[in-house]
Amino acid sequence: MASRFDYYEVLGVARDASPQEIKRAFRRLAKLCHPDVGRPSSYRYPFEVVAEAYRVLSDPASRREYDRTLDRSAGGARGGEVARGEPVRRGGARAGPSPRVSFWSRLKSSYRSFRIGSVISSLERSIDEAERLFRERSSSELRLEEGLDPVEVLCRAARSSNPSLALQALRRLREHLLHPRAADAVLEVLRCASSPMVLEEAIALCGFMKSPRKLEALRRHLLGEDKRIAAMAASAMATCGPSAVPHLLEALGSHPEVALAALRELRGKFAEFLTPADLLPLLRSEDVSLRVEALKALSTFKEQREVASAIRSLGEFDGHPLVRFWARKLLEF
Amino acid sequence: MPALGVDFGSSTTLCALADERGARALPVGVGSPFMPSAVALSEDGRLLVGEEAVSVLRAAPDRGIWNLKRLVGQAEGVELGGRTFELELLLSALFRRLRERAEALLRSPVRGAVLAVPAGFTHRQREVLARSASAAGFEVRRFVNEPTAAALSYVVGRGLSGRALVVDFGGGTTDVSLVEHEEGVFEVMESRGLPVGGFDLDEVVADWMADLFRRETGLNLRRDPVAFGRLMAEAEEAKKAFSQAKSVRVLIPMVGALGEEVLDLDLTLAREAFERRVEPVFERVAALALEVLGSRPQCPPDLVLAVGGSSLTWSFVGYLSRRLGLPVKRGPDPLEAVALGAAIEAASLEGRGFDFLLVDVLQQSLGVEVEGGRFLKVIPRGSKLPASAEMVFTTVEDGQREVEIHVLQGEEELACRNVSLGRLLLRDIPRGRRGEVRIKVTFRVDESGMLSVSAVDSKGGPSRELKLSFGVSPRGSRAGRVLSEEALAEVQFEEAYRSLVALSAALEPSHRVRLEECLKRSRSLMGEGDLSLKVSLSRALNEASAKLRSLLG
Repeated sequence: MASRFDYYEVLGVARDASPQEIKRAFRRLAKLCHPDVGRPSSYRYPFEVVAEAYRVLSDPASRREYDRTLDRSAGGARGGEVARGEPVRRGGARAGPSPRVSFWSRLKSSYRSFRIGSVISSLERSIDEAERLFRERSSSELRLEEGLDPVEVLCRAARSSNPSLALQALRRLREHLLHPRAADAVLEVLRCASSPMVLEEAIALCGFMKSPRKLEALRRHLLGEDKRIAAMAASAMATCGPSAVPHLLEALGSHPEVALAALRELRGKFAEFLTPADLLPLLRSEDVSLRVEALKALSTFKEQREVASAIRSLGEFDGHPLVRFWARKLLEF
Repeated sequence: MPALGVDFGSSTTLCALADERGARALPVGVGSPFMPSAVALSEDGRLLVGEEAVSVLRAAPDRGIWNLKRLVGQAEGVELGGRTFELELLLSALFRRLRERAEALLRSPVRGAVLAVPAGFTHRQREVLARSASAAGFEVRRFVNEPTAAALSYVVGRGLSGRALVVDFGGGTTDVSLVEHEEGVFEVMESRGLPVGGFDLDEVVADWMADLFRRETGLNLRRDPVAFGRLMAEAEEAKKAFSQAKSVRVLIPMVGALGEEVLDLDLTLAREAFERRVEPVFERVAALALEVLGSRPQCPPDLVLAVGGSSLTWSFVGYLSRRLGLPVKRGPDPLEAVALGAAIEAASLEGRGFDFLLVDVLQQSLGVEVEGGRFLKVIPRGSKLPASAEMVFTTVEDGQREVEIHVLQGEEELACRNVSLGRLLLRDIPRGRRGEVRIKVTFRVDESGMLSVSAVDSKGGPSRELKLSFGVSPRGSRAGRVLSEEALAEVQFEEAYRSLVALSAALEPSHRVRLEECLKRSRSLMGEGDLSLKVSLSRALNEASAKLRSLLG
């Protein structure tokens, strides 16, 4: 919120004044306007205002914040001028004049309609502008203060309930994942976050982390409602090593999208754990990509009779040409 | 008639005088500058003060009271020997004796005083002291916070400049302040306080002795207030003795009885064990000091100063210096520093010998209770004094004539966890619909830490002062509502929203659709937005509604 006073003007210092200059200005003015001085104040601002200006400008963080509001209000004033020129083009009179009214009253009513249109346009623009500034503010909330541990600040922001802030913090945490606090923060986000976008980012980060606890955190999402997130969790889980295999095998029975992600990871990293018993049911799935993926996985077992016959029947009777193609191709080799 | 500096301490009171020749304590005690802050009732019903009271107290703890300071603002009356005395009466007896002795020493009448109080003292506690002192013939020119006074005596008293962290570890309270003296301005940058002090140390030692005694004999002295009182007195002596001796022997004859057998307490306490026991108390002080340092990371002190009687305790300075990682200096006269500083401020106010400007801060935030029992800060802690702030209040009922405002001090989010300063009653509010009346209330804390409040109604006609008083409304309390900036924006938004909805009915369809879209968007933005967004939205809607209304006639 903007103050009524320009604090730089109150203290009589330049915008780029050093902390020492600000302090000196405060001392000089305090000796003019503090009630203890005994004589009536010879300064145009009361001590309270001088003290407030000093409080805001002597703390680096609050000074930066104040500078930003100054910049913004200067920018806002310019935006206002542009806005005033615009309605002429946009808010044209669109009132349908009734045929029986006179020319003058038609002109009057169309003029009024034009004015109303321009009031509404300017309201629309004000709302746009307010929203834009708000978004800007909430994205710029994430500032790294000097002296504070950046990881600490990011971790705090990542836990924020503001999704855009949390998302931004998580993206920047990517560089600090070796930090144990960062890993903790990501895991906590995994546990508590409600925004899908934030969760996706956290799950993606999980893939880069080495934390023994991440398997547990991911498992919850593997079984969750949101299929997209569950699929991502399945992919991230593969980085946990062989301990993830039982969960991934379990996920094969889940929603096709999740099963597909789990199957891809299993094939890529843990092919030795796959058995025909896990894969054959997938051939009956409704999802084409899942059937194809299962076929490819089964190709290593085609010496087994039941596997070969299952592939062959798919090559002949499957409803989708792509599946038939892959089944035939696999049998040829 | 020079003004004195008075340090009304939890255990002793002393006063000092400063002039061109410097500051010095006046020997108001018997052969020393310290007068015990004790009051007692003699057998024949006279009120005794100081050393006389102490002798009564030692024999009959229930006939007297020592720690009057802890009661200021907490209790109205004090029971002495079965009779109840008003606290202010006891305090003024103490101040009168102090003034009489000072007058006898100076051979001139004394009227003015600068009184040092713990920085955490509320407006009410200061008021109680001011009233008691004025009943004793002292006019309190100024309240000065104890850590500030201690720093003044050290820094200004020696003509030093620079930044200092002052840890004032007193009898009942501890204050830590970061101060800076430069170019004739003595600025308090940060100040925090805790109710921890020498009494806690005494209690730790007394508890320790009671434990040892119980283990030895099986008798629990904590159950017996008279015996525990004697234990506390001996504990204080033992605490002081550890500064010189590696072990202390405590002997209290006939401290209690177990059946027919009368028991004496005879214990030998070791200094190492003492250090271990008191460490938790030291730690609370050190944590407070670290908190103050941490709040101003860009302003490291040139000097850490330990003052106050309890800073003399064995191993305290060493412990503090270890925890802060900075060398800690003990003031040359830690017991007198506060009184000397108050005297220096008195001299500066009168322009005698010292010339500097003291700028102190508010140690605890001042605020009001708002809906849901929350605490809304009006003047945040650390504000330079004098400070003032304005708030807008409104009514919650149609035709409401009175609004009650609960004023509190503290840092907690819930109002009930802070210290209540009182309820302020705004009367003769002009009649109006609920939420329509706007009352602007100005809170002001002056250089002495005293609060004053004024109110004007800012709607309808010329603004005028409203009557107000602390106290409960005689006809049952009337709640009011604070319009914080945010709430104000929300209320104005709602008003504008309703009027735009009404206006939209008269618009042609294409305009109506666009306006409705605007209303929908702004409503959803209000839900997620911050204060600044709410303010701009409500302003935009209000503007639009005013323009449309004039266009539609």
